[in-house]
Amino acid sequence: MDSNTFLKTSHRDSILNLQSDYRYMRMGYYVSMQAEIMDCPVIPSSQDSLDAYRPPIFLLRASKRGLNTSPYIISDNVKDIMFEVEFPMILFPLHPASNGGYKVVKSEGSLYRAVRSLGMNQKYPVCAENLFGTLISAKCLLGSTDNEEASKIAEAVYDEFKLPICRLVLQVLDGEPYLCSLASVHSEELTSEDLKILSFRIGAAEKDFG
Amino acid sequence: MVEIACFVESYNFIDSEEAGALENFQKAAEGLGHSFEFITKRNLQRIPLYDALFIRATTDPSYTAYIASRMAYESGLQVLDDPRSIQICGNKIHMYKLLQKAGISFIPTQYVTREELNPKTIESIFDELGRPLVLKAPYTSFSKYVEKTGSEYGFKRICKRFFRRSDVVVVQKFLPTKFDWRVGVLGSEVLYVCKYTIPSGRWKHGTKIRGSSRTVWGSTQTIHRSEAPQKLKECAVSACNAIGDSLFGVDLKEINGEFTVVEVNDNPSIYAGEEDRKDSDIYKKIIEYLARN
Repeated sequence: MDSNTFLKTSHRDSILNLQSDYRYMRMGYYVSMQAEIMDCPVIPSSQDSLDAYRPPIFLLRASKRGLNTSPYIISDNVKDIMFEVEFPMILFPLHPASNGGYKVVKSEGSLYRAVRSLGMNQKYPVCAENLFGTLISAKCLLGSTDNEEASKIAEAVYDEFKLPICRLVLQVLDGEPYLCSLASVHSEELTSEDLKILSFRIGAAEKDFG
Repeated sequence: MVEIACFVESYNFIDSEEAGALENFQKAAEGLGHSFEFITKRNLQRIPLYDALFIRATTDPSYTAYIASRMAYESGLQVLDDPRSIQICGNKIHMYKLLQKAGISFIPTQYVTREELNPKTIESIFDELGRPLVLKAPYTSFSKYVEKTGSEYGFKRICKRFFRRSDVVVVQKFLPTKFDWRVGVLGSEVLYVCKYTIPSGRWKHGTKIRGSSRTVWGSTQTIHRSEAPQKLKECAVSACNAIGDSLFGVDLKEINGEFTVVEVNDNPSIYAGEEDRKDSDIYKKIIEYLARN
């Protein structure tokens, strides 16, 4: 069922929401919200969608689950960031329009510029993480990814947040992955092979409704 | 003794009445034997060190205040506003759908998606809700992103602007009144009752002056909660119960003696000499709520 129709129905079955963008106030978010209001079991929940795209909350919940996460600080102050996190570091914006992007900074000068631009002139703080490994990203479909280094952690992230389609940003040190953030996948990034994987795994996803 | 953190942003201290209210919260907490410290976006990571978090910065799931609330909740703190209330009240579509589910009377409302923005849909909405009507971005607060239009051109232009941040926009019947009731509710108990008046020649409590960054606000007339109409208080509390158990400010219109909900807001404004003018115990009640458990 397409999302526009769904928002106007009183459909009452379980909903596997396969909109690829679950960010706040995007259609994927509204579909999950609507399902919850109708008391339908839904994957993902609107709460998990909100949490997953906000790096500090994503890392907090992942670390509570025992997953490897990158150490981070939330601040709008360059001195505080430099006191807590060593260079090089990776900076994630926390402003309302942030879209999963990030900046890698290696010097005090570039940190000043990045804090100012990502924080919209220090109106918002940034999430600064120490970059100690190799940065990779992995497209994840119902918890599976073709990136071997990320496959176990992708499954665990899916168990925690249940986002059917997402991209994980990780750093790998000595073969061990550490979570940095989670981003959305644009629908045009989904290949025909990805759609086959989704179709194949949809049946297995039924158990995720509990 | 409970250690309370109050999350604020620098703009919370610009208005002397708002700064005065923050001082009153601090005095109330200390008077009850608790500590009360201000924290900002610069020291969010200290949140787990406290017992309770009180948020006075503007809340929205996209803002830093939500991160603060979520961090506090995950760390087991008593928190006002709790993340669920921010999630629901920060998005008017979520809030209205819950009111509808609970059978609460609210302003006749429809929703428009990006794909539905065509002349046929717009015409049918005008037919149903009348002309002019009010378009509201789901993330509205302090009367911002709420606009009135009577034309298809205006409808499209406003929607396109609101669609930049949200894929769905709220459309409502225009119901002009001289004031909106504001009822402050904490955990199903009415804390204060005010009338937020509409400035002369305007149609909402706060109106931005065209070509300026200035906003004209209507006055606030406060009445003792004990003297407010019982029906008004019942309607406000029912609306809050549909949302959750937290601190809310409910806006209602009174039309022919009947009350209809305009909005339920989390993080309601509390200014010294305004919301507290008749019921000065609101600070103590909020601190006691934070200090419970």
